[in-house]
Amino acid sequence: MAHIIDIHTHHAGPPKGGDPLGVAHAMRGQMVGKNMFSDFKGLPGIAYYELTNFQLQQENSHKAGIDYRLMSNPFSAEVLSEISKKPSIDVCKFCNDEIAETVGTAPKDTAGLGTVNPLEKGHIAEAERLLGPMKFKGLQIVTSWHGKFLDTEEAWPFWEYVQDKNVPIFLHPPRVPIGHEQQMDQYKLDELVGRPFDTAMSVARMILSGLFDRFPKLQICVAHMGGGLLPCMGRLDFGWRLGCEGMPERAAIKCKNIPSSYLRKNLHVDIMGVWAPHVAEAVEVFGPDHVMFGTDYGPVPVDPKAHVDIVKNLKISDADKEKIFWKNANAYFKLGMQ
Amino acid sequence: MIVDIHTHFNEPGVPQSLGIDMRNPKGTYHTMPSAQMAEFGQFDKQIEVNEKAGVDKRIMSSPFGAEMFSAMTDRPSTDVVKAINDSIAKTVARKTDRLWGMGTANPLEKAHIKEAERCMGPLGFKGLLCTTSWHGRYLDNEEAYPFWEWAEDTKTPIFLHPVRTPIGHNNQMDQYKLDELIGRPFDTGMCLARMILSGLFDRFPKLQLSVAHMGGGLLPVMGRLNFGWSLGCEGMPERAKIKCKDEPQSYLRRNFHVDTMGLWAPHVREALEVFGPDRVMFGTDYGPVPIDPKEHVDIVKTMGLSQADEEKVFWKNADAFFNLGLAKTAAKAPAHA
Repeated sequence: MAHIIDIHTHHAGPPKGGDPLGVAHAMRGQMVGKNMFSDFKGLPGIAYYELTNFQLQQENSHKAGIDYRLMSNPFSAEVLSEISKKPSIDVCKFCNDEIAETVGTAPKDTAGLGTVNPLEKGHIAEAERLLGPMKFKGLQIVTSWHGKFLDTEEAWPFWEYVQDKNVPIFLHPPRVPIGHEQQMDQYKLDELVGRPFDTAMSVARMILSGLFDRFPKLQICVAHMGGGLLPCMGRLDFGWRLGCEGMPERAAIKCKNIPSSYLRKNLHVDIMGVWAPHVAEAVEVFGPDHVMFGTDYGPVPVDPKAHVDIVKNLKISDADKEKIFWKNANAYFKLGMQ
Repeated sequence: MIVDIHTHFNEPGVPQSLGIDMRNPKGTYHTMPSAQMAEFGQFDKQIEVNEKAGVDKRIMSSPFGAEMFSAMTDRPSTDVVKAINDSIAKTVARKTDRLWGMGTANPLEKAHIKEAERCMGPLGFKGLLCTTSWHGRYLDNEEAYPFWEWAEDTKTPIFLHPVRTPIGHNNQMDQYKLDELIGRPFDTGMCLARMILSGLFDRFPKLQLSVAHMGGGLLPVMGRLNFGWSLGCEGMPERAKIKCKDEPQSYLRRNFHVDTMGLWAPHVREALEVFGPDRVMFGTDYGPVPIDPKEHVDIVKTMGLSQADEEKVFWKNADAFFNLGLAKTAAKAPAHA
């Protein structure tokens, strides 16, 4: 049977149950029509009402032919942990419990992706709670956490755990991306350009630092077609080929093999970008076995059908389209769908 | 015929003429480790390697010397661009049958227009390289309007190229050459996104810009610019609002051209699809990026283009964009029997 599984969809409920994290004041936004405007760290942003309206999400997704969704919270844990005085583990738990509650209302056609911070060793216990008793299907990890990227040594115990347990990982950029202090408060540039580049930086660092030589079986799925990675990929290759002779140790590229060789070994991407030419490039580069359907629906209230049509119009076989629509996600997140 | 629009040579003596001690540089440059490749300063080798690769003619520029040196000297930036432009004239004079010059200027300083006129007039340059940002400031700023007005009026060919120290450089880009490998295309992507979203092309609709590195990081975020625009900016403060009149992607084939530099065939393919074969030009970054230009040639040859389109990419688009006069010369040449 044919399915469409959306691996990249977000929901965040309206604040309720008091203010256990002590963040309400800092996070308070202004209602503009049905949407909420906020100005976190001087970066203006709009939270569209679709983000908080689960029933509407379900209806629009079903109408577009999507019959299963993996729900996550894009970056609340990373944002709230910067504001809250509570330990970051409590913040993650709060966000994860909220996702569990949401998917609990539609257990047949939704499942949760939890979140933790790979840079803190104490978060592995929360990851185990999520993948065990909470029955989450994977972990959504932000590409940087308060400006720190995921290739640093502090994250190694986490990656070791992920590799050992074969945990499905979904990488997603944070609210406040790299370079945000340089006039990204204009024209939504933090969202439109900054975030894909935070992703590119995170993945490039993983490759160039040799993280995938240390954890060769690591499998990571990356949002937004890999963010801004692909136009830089040939650059990573020539940077590696030309060598780092004479550079200080911290600056030298460490990976053993040519950077592009890690793409099909360790990485998967979703198709979210509403830009067919780059979806085509992603399919060419990663191969049809490593691309999954994802929409960012909720915070990005573009009709999910637009994403479906992009995949339908790709110049690939129907069998490959089925892989992208559901078979790859079914295998990667172990959903057990027939 | 193959014309390379994106190639650099490091004419010696420029920083010294500006009183800059490169062994002890000021600013952020000394915290971003980089290896300057020997080929950047080997003129004869560059000529030889290009001949072997079948690259007939090259447009030479300084990638970001002006932006970098102007942060390292107390001399006025007009002196810095003059020194750079004189050095390019000197380089080109070494081999006039193979090389053309491309000058440089800072669009954010009105005083640079005069130097730009010197480049396009007495120096005989074919265009101007502008860095995508200048000391962290972008080119959609109001201060750049006189320059863009001048460029539009005079139809000056512009080539946008990223800076030495790109956006985000202070966030651990001193590792793994990330400033060069990721930061620079990111700076380009940011520059172009700002030009489009700020409405610069509504103000100067005839502006024609060619962009290095296949548009830098622009294409994977292009659909994002579109949905950011179509979802609207209701309730956002004035400075944050997207200002362009039309859907962002509609400016791509109106105002932009790109080169093929990136050593990544799949993205050259995307660039050809998005910009069309009339707006893609051959470029290699040879010199500072000492990869055999033949690799770039081969990438274009594997694109499956018609012969007519391949010729456009290899030289005809550059001929038209930079007014190189190649087609005219070819027409005048006597026909072979």
